[in-house]
Order: sequence, then C-alpha cells, then structure tokens
Amino acid sequence: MGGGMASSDVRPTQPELIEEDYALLVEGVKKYFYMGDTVVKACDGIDLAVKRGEYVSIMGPSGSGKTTLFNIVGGLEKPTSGQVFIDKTDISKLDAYELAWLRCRKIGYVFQSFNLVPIMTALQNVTLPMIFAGFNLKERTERATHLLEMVGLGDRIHHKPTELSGGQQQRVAIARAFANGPSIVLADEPTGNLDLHTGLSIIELLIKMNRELEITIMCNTHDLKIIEASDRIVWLRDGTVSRIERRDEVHVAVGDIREARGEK
Amino acid sequence: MRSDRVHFPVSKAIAFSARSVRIRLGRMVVVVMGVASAVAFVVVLVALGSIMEVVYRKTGGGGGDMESLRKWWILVALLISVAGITNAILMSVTERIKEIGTIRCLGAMSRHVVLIFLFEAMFLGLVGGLIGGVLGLAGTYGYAILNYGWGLVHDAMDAWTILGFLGAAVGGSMVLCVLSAIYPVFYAASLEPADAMRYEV
Repeated sequence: MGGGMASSDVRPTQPELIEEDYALLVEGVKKYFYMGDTVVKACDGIDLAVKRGEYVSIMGPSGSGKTTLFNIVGGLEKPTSGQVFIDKTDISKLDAYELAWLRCRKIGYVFQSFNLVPIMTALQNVTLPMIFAGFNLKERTERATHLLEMVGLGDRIHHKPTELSGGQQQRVAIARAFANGPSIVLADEPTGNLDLHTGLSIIELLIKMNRELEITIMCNTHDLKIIEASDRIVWLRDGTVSRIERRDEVHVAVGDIREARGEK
Repeated sequence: MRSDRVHFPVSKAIAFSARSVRIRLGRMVVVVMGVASAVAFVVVLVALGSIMEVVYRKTGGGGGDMESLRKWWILVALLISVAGITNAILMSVTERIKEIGTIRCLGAMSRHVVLIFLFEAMFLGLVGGLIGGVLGLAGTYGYAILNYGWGLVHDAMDAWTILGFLGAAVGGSMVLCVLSAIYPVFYAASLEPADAMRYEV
C-alpha cells in the first residue's frame, strides 16, 4: 500500500514542511451542498500538498469530489471550511481584485468541455488571459504563437473553435492555460469529451508541458495510462483522500486499480 | 395502440409545456408581456377604429380626441418595444453565462464582464435604433407621400425634425437596451465562476 510513506505528504501542517517547495497546499477542505433536508458532502476534509513542478493525478469514481476539489483549489468556488494556499497565498483571504489576479496569473484551467470563446480564433483565445495580465499586443502574439506551436497547432492559429476538432480545441485550451506562466495548471477531466486515442495524446501533451515548462499540473482523468506518467496519484473516495501513491509505487498501484474497479 | 411505435400522449405534452412555463417563469413573463402588448396594440387599433367610425358618423366629424388617442398608441408601441428588447437582451446574456464563467477563470473581474455586456447592449441599441429609425421614417414618407403628396410632407418634415426623430429613436433604443441588460448582466457577473460554468438556461 505504501500508505505510511505517503501520509507525510498528506499533512501539510507538519512543522518540517517547507512552504516554498509547494505550489499548492490544501488543508482540511470541506464543501457541503445543502439540498433540502439532505447534505451532500462533496469534499469532507481533504488535505493535499503538491510540490512545484510535480505532475499529480487525481483519481476516483464519479461523485468522489474531484471536480469540487478542482473548483475550490482554482478559486472558482468557496469551500464550506478549510484553507487553500497557492504559492503560499491563502486564497480565502483574497478580495475580488486579488482573486481575479490569482486566477489570471497563478492558475491555468483546462476543462472537460474545452470552454473556448466561440467567436475568437485560437490565437485570440490564447491571448485573452494575457490581456487581463497586461501584456502588450506584440508580447501577446509572440507568446501565444509560441504556445500554440508547442501544442502542435502552429498552422491553425487563425482557426475558430468550430473549425477545430475536439482534440485540437483542447490543445488550444491547454495553450491558454499556460498563457501567463501559472504556478499550477488544473485540468479537470481534460480527456472526458475525447476518444481514447485523442485523450492519450492530450495527456502526453500535458506531461510534455509539465516537463518542458516545469509548471505544476494537477489533472484528473479516468485514464489508467496516466499512472505511468504521474509523479503521484491521489485517490479520492467520498470526498476524502483515500490513498496517495508515488510513481515508484506504481507496480503496487496496478493491482489496486483492479481492486478499485471491483475486479478483484 | 400499437406497441412498436413510440408514443407521447397530448396530455403529457401539455404537462411538459406547463412545467416549462412554471420553471422559466421570469423569462416567460417577459415573453408573455411581449405577446400581450402586441395583441393589446392590435386590439386598441381595431376597437378604437370602429368606435371612431361611429363617433364620426354621429357627430359629423366633431368628436374624437385624436391627441389622447395618439398618446395611447405611442405608449402601447413603447411597451411592445420594451418587451421585445428585454427579451432579446435577456436571451443574449443568459445563453452566454457559461462563457462569462470562462472569462472570469482567465482573470476577468465582475465589473469587466459588466462592461463588456453593457457596451454590447449599447451597440445593439445604437444599430437597432438607427435601422429602426430609418425604416420607420422611410415607411412614414412612403405612406404620407402617397396619401398627402410630396408638398405637404416636405413642409412637415424639415431636416431638424428628421434628425430629431432619428436621435430620439437611437437614444431611446440605447437607453432601453442598457436598462434591460442591467439585471441579467449583474446577475451573471455576480455568480461564482463555477456556478456560471454549470449554468443551464
């Protein structure tokens, strides 16, 4: 299992923890949704620490709280309780102005449904966050062109989303997520709307971006192939972290996957 | 009843549509207002027409308060415009709430979103007002020239009057567009980005 080893990473409050090493710290995050008489505990006390440059995969069945965790970590939704630190900043203490700045400069988002702005070309979509970040036109065009080349769309920069395939749209979205050199990129089921083959190429692209730009990535996908590439895998179940595994424990993980899928 | 066909009884269709109206009540009120004021306009025209006819016959053309009648027409026409414009703007904002969520993720603040959409409403009002104003004037000219002859129309409509009509049309249209955009835009901008992105119309 390796649970004992991993648990030191789960508890960011330990005194020996050096904050500078972490792009993301999550402490006791809870998110309850109240629907009539019932309480849905989407996140029920999640602790997590993600090191700079790490590629962390979040795994877990649907309804285990993955997307809620992403939304809270990304400052898109407020937790019921608990704290999230991005680059040592407690995001619950930010006002609207600082929060917008954080979303713009420190966090990159990749969504399942791509979420490109339909009336804009690939280039305009990638430059959009750079406008909010205050880059001038020349810088924006250069950076965005470079990023689009990195994701393999150098010849499609003037195409609109409707003129691109799903995989290509997701590539644009990935280029957009890295536009302002964020501290962490959050990819919430980036392969969910894609076929297996295209999905794999998207995961490979995310890993390439992680290695080349040394930008932290937290990604959630059902794809088991991701395990080979991740530095760590965090398993969620019923809104809590049930297990954390490192890459060197992967051989153990394979058996656990079958177990998790009920094949054993 | 054959079992190899899909069926959907009329009673179910009625139940579905009733539920849709109930759930989307706010939007439906706007649509109903539009329909109602358009119908009211036609009814006023037809009914008053027949009343005026009688009044005309009985009094030998003496009665008939044309001035107050005209005010009513303008008021009802305005109501139709307000309902139509509100409906159009409401639609154009709500169908893009997801997009609003996305650009908030990229760093836009609520007030940036508000700015974008209020400017858009202003543009719509400007272009709509211009087109509507020109179309309305063209129609008036056509009708008036055919019925009263060029000379009278020329006397009634000098350049300043025409410009005044156009200005009022454009100004009024822009004000109405911005006013009807304010509520949906502020609502959309005040949503948490996560809520905006899972918003369904």
